[in-house]
Amino acid sequence: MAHIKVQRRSMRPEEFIGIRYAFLKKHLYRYSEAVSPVYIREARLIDEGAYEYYDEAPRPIEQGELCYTPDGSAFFYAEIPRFSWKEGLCLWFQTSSEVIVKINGRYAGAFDPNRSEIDLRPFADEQALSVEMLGYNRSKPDDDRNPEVRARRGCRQKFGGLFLKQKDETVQSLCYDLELFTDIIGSESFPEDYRSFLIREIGAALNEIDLEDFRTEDALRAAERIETNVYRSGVYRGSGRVALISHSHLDIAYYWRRCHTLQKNLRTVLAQLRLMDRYPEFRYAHSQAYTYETLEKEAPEVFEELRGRIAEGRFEPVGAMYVEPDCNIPNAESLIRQCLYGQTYYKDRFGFYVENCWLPDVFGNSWILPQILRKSGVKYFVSNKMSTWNDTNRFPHNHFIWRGIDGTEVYACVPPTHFITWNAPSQIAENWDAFQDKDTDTETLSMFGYGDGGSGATEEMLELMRRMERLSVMPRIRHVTAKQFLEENFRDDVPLAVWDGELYLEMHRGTFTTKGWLKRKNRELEQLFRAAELVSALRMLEGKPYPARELRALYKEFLVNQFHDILPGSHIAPVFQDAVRDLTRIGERLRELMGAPEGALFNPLNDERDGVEFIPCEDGGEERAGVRGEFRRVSFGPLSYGKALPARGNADWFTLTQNGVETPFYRVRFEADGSFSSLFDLTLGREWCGGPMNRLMLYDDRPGVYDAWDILPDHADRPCPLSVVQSAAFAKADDESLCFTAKLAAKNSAIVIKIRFFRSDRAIETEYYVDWHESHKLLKVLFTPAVLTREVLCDTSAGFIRRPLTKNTTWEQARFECCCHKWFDLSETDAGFAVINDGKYGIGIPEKGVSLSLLRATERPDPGSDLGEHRFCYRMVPHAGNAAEAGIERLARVYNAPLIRADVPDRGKRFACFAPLYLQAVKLSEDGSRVIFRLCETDGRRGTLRLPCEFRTTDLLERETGKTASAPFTPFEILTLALELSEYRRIFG
Amino acid sequence: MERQIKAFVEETLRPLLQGDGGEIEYDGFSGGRVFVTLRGECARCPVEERCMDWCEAKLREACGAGLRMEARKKPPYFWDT
Repeated sequence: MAHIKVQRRSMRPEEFIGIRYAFLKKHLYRYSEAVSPVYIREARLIDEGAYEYYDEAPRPIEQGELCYTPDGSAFFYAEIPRFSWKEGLCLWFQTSSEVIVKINGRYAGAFDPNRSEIDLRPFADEQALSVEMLGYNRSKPDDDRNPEVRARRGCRQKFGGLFLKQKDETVQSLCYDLELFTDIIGSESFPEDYRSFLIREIGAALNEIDLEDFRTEDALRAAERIETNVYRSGVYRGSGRVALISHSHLDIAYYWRRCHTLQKNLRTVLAQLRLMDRYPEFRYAHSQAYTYETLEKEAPEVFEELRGRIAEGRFEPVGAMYVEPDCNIPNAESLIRQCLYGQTYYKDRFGFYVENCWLPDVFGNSWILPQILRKSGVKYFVSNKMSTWNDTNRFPHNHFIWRGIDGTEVYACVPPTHFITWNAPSQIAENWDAFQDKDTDTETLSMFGYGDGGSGATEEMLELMRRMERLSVMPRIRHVTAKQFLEENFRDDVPLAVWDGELYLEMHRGTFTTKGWLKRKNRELEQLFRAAELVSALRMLEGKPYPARELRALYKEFLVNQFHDILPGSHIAPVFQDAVRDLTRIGERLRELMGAPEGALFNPLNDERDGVEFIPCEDGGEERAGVRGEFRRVSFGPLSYGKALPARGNADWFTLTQNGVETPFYRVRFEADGSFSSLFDLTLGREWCGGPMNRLMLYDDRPGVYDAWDILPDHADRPCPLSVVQSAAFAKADDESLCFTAKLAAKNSAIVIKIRFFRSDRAIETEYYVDWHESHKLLKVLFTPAVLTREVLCDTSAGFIRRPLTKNTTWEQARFECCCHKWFDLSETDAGFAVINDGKYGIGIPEKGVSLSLLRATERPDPGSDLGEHRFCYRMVPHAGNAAEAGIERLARVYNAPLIRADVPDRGKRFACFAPLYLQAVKLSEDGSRVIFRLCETDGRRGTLRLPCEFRTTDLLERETGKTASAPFTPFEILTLALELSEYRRIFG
Repeated sequence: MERQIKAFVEETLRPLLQGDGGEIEYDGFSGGRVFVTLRGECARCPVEERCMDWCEAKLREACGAGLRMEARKKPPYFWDT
């Protein structure tokens, strides 16, 4: 006999509860009156505070008419001439847009997809209301949970009317009860017996409601029954301890431009301040110094109110950094400046430093962070990403100690659930269930508040919290500040595990590569900032002023562009256009500040330079990356003028062979596509090719909806053809360099490859020009050197990390695409092979070899992402010894910090005292009293600097920590030294 | 005429739609009809006809009263189901 599964089609009791809940919502308001007329003026925000208007003047708008336009804003105006307040009265506007509301000239609150009411109690004494509303049509992200609001989404939205409504507080309260209990009834995180109990008790209470004839008294009786039989029942006991922190994740740019974020931020802050008026227990955490700084300019009266709440301990600045940056790609100095400018702002405006780093959404975290954080006054690191987004392995801790590349430790909290929740009991119970460090006897952290585009907590979330505190079945919950949670749960006496390594995110691996222009410009500007500050500091030795204010402003603008949806490339086209505009202008201004276009060539590094470099000059016989110039062997001391050695006048230093060439260093044989079939090292007597070498590879790259974010491992299963248009052939040579070229084609793209060898340098440079018009493709170049090793060394910008090449564990398998800064290296005991790039950050670890990711062609969020022309270069450096012995880091610095034209005093010898450390930055201190020298050990060595006088030591916030004339250093350590200006001039002048 | 229409689509309308994560591509002009392709978020918008009506009105204001705009949607593969 066939088995027939019994399927219940009749209405379940919990469904009947839902029906009655919906019925009650219809009776939420006792009274409703449309405000009329309402006037609208449509506009578009084109830059910060600058609108272009579609209407000459406000015009009346009727219910049902369409409003808003693509990328549009709208100003609404209404007058309520005879206003008489009564209990429960609110201004009501249901919208999918984001609206800031002023009443009688005062910021009254906000409407958005999750907020339809503005409490009019503060206007109880007014006789008339004048309403001004600034709306922005964007409803992304997808946190609009109200189905009625969702139906209103789109560039053109139906105006549903503006209303005065009087709320029935009894019904509202009962609705919050039902929101709470229907969520629990639907959640398997609660005991089945308890859910059955709720279904019985809530159903019985709702029997008081007459669905044919609603009366408030019935709702009151139902609420009283719930109070007696449910809230006061202590029979069912929950377990666990959950701390609730309210916040709002606010992307500075994403599906909106930065100029829109000023509004999003104001709307968010305003909504939270208005909640604080009504809920004395409410605490709210708001991150990113940038958002405070812009609010201070945008709405000073709101900022002052916020400052008052900060003083009360209710509005809490979190996150020591200036913005929440990407934490893979920015170099050490950029991350330091994020902390320096963030912390300096907090200290200046609010009188304290923030002790936590609040990065709920960033796409993995570099191993260099713990040291930077600790030396910036930060004890606690908070990020949700690894627990909730890893695609392969469950990150094993929520509360742990994170040990950095140099051994510095910070407390780390990776909460077990998403950073956007609406404080539903099921979300809190799931958080406790997922918490992996229960045996440390600490609380787990559940963040609540809508976000991505700001918004934060709502009245409903706070009402649920009040109710949950009274439910015995819930874990023990506490609404706290971040500071309170972190200080009470991360203490020396709590037995926390140690995570010694980077915080790699097993997702969003494409963000190292997407929007290649931004990546390359980021590298260029990081070096330009270094050079501009150095030049300015050197000029101080001649009595010239240091442009501190302008450099700081430029740096801050740059740091904003390192935000975790800008630099990673996960944004819409206008955000990219803003970034291109900003970064281009910053670069131009930095060059202007350095001046001296006719000056002599100057080495901005405290490294010797003695290889072959490209020297731009208008009459040069070579073109590289779109710039005319010539390759010259150079000889420069640290921070010194030097010389590009003159041409030797003949080009007879190499021999062309069949399909190849012999140079003083190599005997090379090419494949048609420009890759090497043989690269024999004449000096070391060994063959470097162990498989495809310098081979361009094209893959079908389809990671799904996380298009710009992700690269999936299955791309390797779908290689795409690259046809050879012109086989690798000798193109030209001069006395120092020779060039082979090859031309390849993809389906819609042309690729020109130039491979250069040098007379006086072991490096081999490859330059690409790519006219890129692909769809969902990934371009990589593969290196398979004949090197027996199980690890690849990758530059982090402040030391190197050893990444396994093996695939033995799921942890290794998941790291098939990683972040790498200037270089990577594969070495045996006595020799190795390094690749140094000029602005790429993604490397692949396939079954054999290592690939450098060059270009992607993603469609979401920007359908035109990366399309167009690209130029980039890298150098292969086969070498004797290991990477440190071969000075690969120094070579990579040289490759990325070109010689500059300068008119600064030549004081190179005096700066020799800092060798062998990398002089990462020289700048005027923030208070203008000292010169700051930032030094970084990058090779994994220890030693002692012998300084020419007694220097002050400081932390990264430039706070003095001691004095020394002899500074010991340890592997990968970042040191900051300072000199009073007079001492600086005496020692270096 | 066609050059003016193409410029209007690419220089005036395109930045607006890009601002919402969308994309509009000019495909051609024939018999008073302007053909465009909607990509990105526009390719999955449930109310794109409202937006297209507005775009068409703007196009008429700028380029001629009798013009009509005809849009086809081209969603990326992961939404084209």
